[in-house]
Amino acid sequence: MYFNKISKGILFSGLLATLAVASCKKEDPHHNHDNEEYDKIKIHLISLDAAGNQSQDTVSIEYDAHGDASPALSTIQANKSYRMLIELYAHDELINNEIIADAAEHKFFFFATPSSAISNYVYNDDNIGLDGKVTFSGLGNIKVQALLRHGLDKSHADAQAYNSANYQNAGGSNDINITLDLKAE
Amino acid sequence: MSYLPKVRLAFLIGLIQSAALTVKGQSSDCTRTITIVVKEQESGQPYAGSGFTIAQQQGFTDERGTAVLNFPCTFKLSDDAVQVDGRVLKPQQIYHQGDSLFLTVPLYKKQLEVISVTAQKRAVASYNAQSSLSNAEMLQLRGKSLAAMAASLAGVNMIQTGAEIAKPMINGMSNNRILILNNGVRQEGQQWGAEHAPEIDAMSVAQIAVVKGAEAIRYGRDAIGGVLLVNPSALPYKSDQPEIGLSLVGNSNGQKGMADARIGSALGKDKHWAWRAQSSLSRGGNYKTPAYFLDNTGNKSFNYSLALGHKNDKHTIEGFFSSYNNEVGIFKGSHIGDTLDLQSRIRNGRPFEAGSFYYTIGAPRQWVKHQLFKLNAQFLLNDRWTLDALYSFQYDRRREFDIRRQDVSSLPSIDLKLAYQTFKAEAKYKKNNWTNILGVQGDLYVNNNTPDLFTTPIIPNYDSKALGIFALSKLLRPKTGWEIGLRYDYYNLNAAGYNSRNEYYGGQHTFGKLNASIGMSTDILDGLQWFSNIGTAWRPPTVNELYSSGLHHGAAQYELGDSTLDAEQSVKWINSLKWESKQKRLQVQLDAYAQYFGNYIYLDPSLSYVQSLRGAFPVFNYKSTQAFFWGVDLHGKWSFNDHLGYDLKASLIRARDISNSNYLPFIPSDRLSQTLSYGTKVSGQVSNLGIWLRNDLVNRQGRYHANSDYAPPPEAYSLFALGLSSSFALKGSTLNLNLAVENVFNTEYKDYLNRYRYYAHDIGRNFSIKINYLF
Repeated sequence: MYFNKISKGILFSGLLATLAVASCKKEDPHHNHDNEEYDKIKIHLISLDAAGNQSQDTVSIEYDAHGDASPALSTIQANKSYRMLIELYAHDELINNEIIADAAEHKFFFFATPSSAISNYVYNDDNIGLDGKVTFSGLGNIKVQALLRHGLDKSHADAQAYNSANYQNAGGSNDINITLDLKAE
Repeated sequence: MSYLPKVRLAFLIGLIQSAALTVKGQSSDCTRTITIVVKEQESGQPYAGSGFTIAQQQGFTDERGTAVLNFPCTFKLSDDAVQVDGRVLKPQQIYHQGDSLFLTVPLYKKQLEVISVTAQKRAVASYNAQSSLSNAEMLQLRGKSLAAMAASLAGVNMIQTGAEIAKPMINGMSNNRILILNNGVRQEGQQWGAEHAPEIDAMSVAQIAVVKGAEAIRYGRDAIGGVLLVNPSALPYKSDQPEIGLSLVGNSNGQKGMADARIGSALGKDKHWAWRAQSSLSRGGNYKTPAYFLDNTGNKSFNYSLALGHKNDKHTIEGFFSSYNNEVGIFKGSHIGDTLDLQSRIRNGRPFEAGSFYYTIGAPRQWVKHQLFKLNAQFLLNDRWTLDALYSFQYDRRREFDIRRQDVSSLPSIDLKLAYQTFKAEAKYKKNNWTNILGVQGDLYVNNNTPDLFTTPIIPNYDSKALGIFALSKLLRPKTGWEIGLRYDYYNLNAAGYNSRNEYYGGQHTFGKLNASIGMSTDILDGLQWFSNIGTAWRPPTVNELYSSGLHHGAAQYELGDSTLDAEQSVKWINSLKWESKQKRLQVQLDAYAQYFGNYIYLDPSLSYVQSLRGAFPVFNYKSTQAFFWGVDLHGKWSFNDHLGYDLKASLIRARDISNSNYLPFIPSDRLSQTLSYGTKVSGQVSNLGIWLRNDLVNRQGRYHANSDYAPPPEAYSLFALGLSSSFALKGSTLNLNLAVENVFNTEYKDYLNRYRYYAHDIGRNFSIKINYLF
C-alpha cells in the first residue's frame, strides 16, 4: 500500500518539478537609468572689477564623469577676484536645485596649493558654495581642490571656514572631490 | 548498572519518589534535577543532539548525549511519557543510576533518523568533528544573533558589519563556503554578501550544532568549511498538555527589547497530530561604544512560524512555514564618499560625528523579508527501508536603502528578489551493521533585480539549476565505525545584466563535480574516541565573483569580477579526539584540521584607482589562487566538584595563499575563552542557581598582508562577562532567569572581523536580562 502511495507521490512530484523547472527563468534585464552620480561639472570663473561688478572675462572648465578637466589648465588674472559658479549635471540636466533644496547638509570647501593662492572666499548662497566670490593672490600655478561635503553639521565650528583643515570633524562624506588647475598671470 | 526491563518503571517512579521523600515537608513546588543521558543501544555511544520529551518537558542532548532537566518532586512517569526523536521508548530502553536517567535508542532507528533530511533533530551522524550548544547555553545566549550564538562554539567565529549584522564563520570559512541548514532546509538568501546576515529568527531556534568537516556528500556544493545546523523544538506529539512558552530579553546597550511566544499541542484522539505557532519581535536603538553612540544602528524585526505534523509508527509528515522580517540601520559613520574620506576616518579611529541615542532607522539601511515553506515526509517502510522526501520553497527579498539624491531618496538602491526551490529524496537501507543511503537533490534558483531604481544593479539577474546524486555507506560496530560517500553535482548558472556603461553582460556557466569522503571513528582507550574524516568539497563561483563591475559604496571600493573563474574545490581532513574521565569530571575535545584549495577565490587589491567626480576608489579584482588552511580547536570542561566548573575554548587558524606566498585576509586571530562557574540548589523552588565569570582573549592578527586591507588589524583585547542564572519551579511551570553583564569593564576595543572597525570601536558594556517561562 505504501509503495503505491509513494509511486503516486513520485509521479506527482515529478509533474510539479517539471512545471517548476519550466517556470523558473530570470527576467530580462533592463537598461539602467543610473542617476546616482554626477556625470558632468562646469565651473565658471567670472572676473570682477574693484567695485565687484561682473565683466565679460570668464574662464569655464568642464569636468567629465572621470573627473578629467577640459581645458586641463586654465589661465586667470593674478591678484583678482572672481565670481565662481559651480554647475552640477546628471544626464545633461542641471541639478543644482537638489543641492540648494538640501542646503542644510551640503557645503563646498576649497583648498588652494599653495595655500596663499586664495586670499579669501565668500559664500554668495546659503553657505553652500555653488555661488561664491574667490580672491586669488600671487603668480604662478595654483591647484584648488573643491570638496562638496554631504550630511555635515554646518553649525559645527570646523565647518565654518571655507578652507577648514578639520572639516571632517563636522561629519558627512564627500559628494564631489575635484581639482582646478589654474595659472595666474 | 544494569538493564531492569521488568521493574524499570517501578525503579524510575522510585527514583522520583525517593526525591519526594528527601524533601518531605516542603511545598508542592519542590523540584529535583535529573541528568538525561541518551545512548545508542548497541554501542553505548552518546546520542548527541537528539530531541527528547519526558512528560511534556522537551530538550536536546548536547555533544555528550546529555541534558539536565528539573522535575517536580511529586512527578510520576507514565508508560508512554519518554520519547526520543518523537519515538516512544519501551520500558527496557530506560534505566537509571543515581540522579541520571539513561535512555537507549536502537541502532537501526537511530541511523534511519540520523541522516534523515526530514528530521535534523540532531547533529549529523558523520565522522566529522561536531559540537552543539546545551540547553543551558541556549538559554544564556537567547537574544543574540544566530552567528553570535554559534560563535560560542570552539572553532566558530563571526564576521560582522556592526553589532546586528553577523555571519557565522567555521574554521575561517564564511559566506558561500559554509552551509546553514535551517530546520533541515538549505538556507538560501543573498549570502554572497559579507554584510548580508542569515535570514533566520534566532529567537525561534532551540538547537545549534556545527559540523566542521567538508560535508559535500550529504549537502552538496558550498559545504566546504562546514555546516551549521539550526532547529526549532520538535513538535509536541503525544503531549497531554499544551506547550506554551514565553521568552523576554532586555539589553541595556541599544535599549533593545525582544519577546518570543509559542504555543502548540498534540491533536486528535490518539494525539498523532501536533502543531505549533511561534512569533517573535524586537526593537532596538543605537548601540553605544564605551565612549560614544553609533548613529543609525537601530533595528527592528517581526517574525513568525507555523508548524503542523502527523506522526505514527509508519510515517511522519510535517509542514512548516516561517516569515522573517527585519530592518536594520547601517552605521552612518561608515557611509564613505571616497578613499580620502575612508583614510581620514581610519586615521581618526572613531566617528567624526557626535552620536546620540534614538530608535529611528534612517538611510543607509537594510530591509529584509524571508519566507520559508517546507513539506517533509518520512516513511518507515519496514525495519530495513526508510524513505525521506523534502520539498522547500524560499522567497527572499532584500532592499538596501542608501543616502541618495533628493528625488529618489525613498527608492532602494538594491532590491533583490530570490525564489529558491529544492527537492530532496533519500532511500535508506539497513542490514546488520550496514546502513546504505541513496539520495537525489534538485535545486532551482531565480534571482531578479527590481528594475528602474536609477542605479546599476550590483549583480545581474540569474537563474540556476542544480542536481546532485549521492550514495553513502556506513558500517557501525561497537567500537569502530566507517563511512564512505560519493556524490556527483551538476550546476548551471545563466546570468544577464547591464553594467554601468549600459553594456550587456552575462552568459551560461556549467559545472559538474564528483566528490568523495571517507570517515571513521574508533575507541582508542576507555573514554577516548578518535574521529577522522577526509573529504572533498566544492562550490561554483558566485555571481558577484563572476560579474561585479562597479563601485561597492559600502566598502568604498571598485570591484571587478572575472567571468572565467572556475569552481572552487578543496579537500579537508579533520581529526577529532574526545576524552571523558571515568567520573565525567573532565571532558576534552580536540579538533585538528588541514584544508587545501586548488582554486580559492578572493578579492585581490590591484593597487590602482578609478577616478570619478566623487573622488578616487581603489580597484579590487576577484581572483583565484591555491590556498592552504590548518588549525586546531580545543574545548575542555572540568568539574572540580558538584558545584564548581571550568570551561575552556580555544581556536587557532593559519591560512596561506600558496601561489603568491602571502597571507589571506579576514582570517580569525587566535582566541581563548575561559569560564568559571559555580552552581548550587538553594531550595525546592529554586534549582540550578549559578554564577559564572567568562574571559575572552582575542589576539591581534599578525599574519596580515599589508596591501590587502585599508587598515592594519586592531590590537589584541580581553573582555570579561559575568552572569547569574537560576531556574524556578512555579506550580508545574519552569521559569529560567538569566542576568548578565558583558564587557564588564567597558573596554574600548576593535575586532578584526568587524567591518566597522575602520570607523568605530565595538560596543561597550551591556546589561541583559533574559526570562524564559515554560507553562
